[in-house]
Amino acid sequence: MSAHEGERLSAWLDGELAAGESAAVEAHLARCASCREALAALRAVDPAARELDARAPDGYFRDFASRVRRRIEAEPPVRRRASWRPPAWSLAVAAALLLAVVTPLTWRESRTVRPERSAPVAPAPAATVASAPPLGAAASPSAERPAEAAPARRPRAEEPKAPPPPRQALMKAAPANRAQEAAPAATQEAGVTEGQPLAMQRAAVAVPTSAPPPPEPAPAVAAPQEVPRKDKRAAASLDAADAMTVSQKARMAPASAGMAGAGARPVDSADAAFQELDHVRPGDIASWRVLRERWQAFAAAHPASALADEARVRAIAAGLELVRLGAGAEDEARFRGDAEAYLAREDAPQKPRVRSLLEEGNALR
Amino acid sequence: MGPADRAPRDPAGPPAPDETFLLARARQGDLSAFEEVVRRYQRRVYGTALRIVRCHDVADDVSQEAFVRAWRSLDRFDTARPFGPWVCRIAANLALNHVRSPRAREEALPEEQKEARSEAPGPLQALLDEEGRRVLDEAIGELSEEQRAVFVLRAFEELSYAEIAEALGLQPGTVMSRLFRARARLARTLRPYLGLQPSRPRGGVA
Repeated sequence: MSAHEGERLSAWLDGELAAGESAAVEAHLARCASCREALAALRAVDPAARELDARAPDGYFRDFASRVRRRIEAEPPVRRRASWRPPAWSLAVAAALLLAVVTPLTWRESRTVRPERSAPVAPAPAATVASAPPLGAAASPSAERPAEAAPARRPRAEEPKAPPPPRQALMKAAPANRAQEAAPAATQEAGVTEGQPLAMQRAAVAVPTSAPPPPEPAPAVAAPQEVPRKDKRAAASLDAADAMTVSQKARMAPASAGMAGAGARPVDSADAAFQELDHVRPGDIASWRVLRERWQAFAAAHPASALADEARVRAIAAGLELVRLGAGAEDEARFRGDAEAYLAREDAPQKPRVRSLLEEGNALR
Repeated sequence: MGPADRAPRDPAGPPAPDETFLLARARQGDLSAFEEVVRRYQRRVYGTALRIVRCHDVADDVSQEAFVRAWRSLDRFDTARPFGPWVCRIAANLALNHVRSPRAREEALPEEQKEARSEAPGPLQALLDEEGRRVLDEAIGELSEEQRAVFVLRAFEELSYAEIAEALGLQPGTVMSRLFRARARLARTLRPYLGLQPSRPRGGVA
């Protein structure tokens, strides 16, 4: 009898195996009681987990949407790439016209106008149609569209009561947003380093595409320092990552509007480099190798940054992906060497994570 | 989470606006339309975040931020596709980046903010009793963050391996492996509560 099934049982449950593999698993299951039993246990996990509620405090959702709205309004306006959607034929006509008439102007403009968050540049027709609110604007675009806005205010189960005045709600329910409004002062008071992990966690989140992923990585978004912090003591060194937290949002936010690079202003090199690497999605062995080297180069180039440690771990994680892809003995040795070197470091904060990666790699042997 | 979270309907009121319509309005800058979309998905997105970060304060921040980013990226979103999985992927990525941050590691999880267990199992026969749910909840908390993120996106959002891989920057093979390891570990915990024999040591299954 062949070896027992492991990973493929779980993937088989999800319908994620290719036809040939699927048939192999089924053939094995037909003659292996032990794997049938393991399958039964694996199959029970997801439904059982779904019995666990993710419950929020009472009333939490009552003004959630308006808090999100406040947060959006407090950010630099979005510059839509293609928010105006005319019929297809008119788009073609418009494109032809634009090419013939407007292109020279646009070209000139694009070379002279420097995008600023306080003065959004919207070279497209979107300038008039898609009006994201200016920074700090009290009135939203929807104010001009009472007809559409009305259904949204319809009472519903989730909103048993009328929401409190937005301002009050914001102050009461979202201290985080308060911090954001008073960003520089508040953050300094609380210790700039409080935002330090956010520098990493927030600056480096890929926004997935709904359609097949685009060839270029999703633009990075830096975000405000908002998570309420309980421990105000732990103040780490003020390095590039730390410095990023207060103003990163202002500097990086335009990039989040799907305008990768177009509206971004210069950023700290460590932040920008980290974000760039975080959005890389390698498709083959060669590009995983490149990514591994780039993470290591990042760690070497920014030794003082709190991001350096994460970069070291990312390099190891990239190494694990290479092992999984069967890149070869050299990459496997490199993966182990990198992981062991990390574990040998004295204050390496992510040893459990690296041990878990190493364990995963060992399981692939 | 109940069905109402995903598609709230007021039987007495006018029919709820179509989501594609709302998203199209939102894309044109209509924040009220977007607020309506947020209301439809807020519990689901919060749930995804909470299941990964296991702390209300962080889940609150992550879920709000997920919607903000969705808003900012709406022009890259195909409104013909379901909005829920997309925004949940954003939330999961934010959540995972939070739990991987050095800062998050320094913070101990407050006990009372662990994932709440449902009080009433609902109309269907519950798989687990209260004790079983408590034990399962603890076991989920003990998964590595990376395993937990993959597990949440699969078990609760039912994303494909390719979608999870894209959201978290992994190879699909890694998704498969982590998901299996997470499930195998949880399954071991669950066995006594499911009337199964404790697992015997066997090759292949961790």
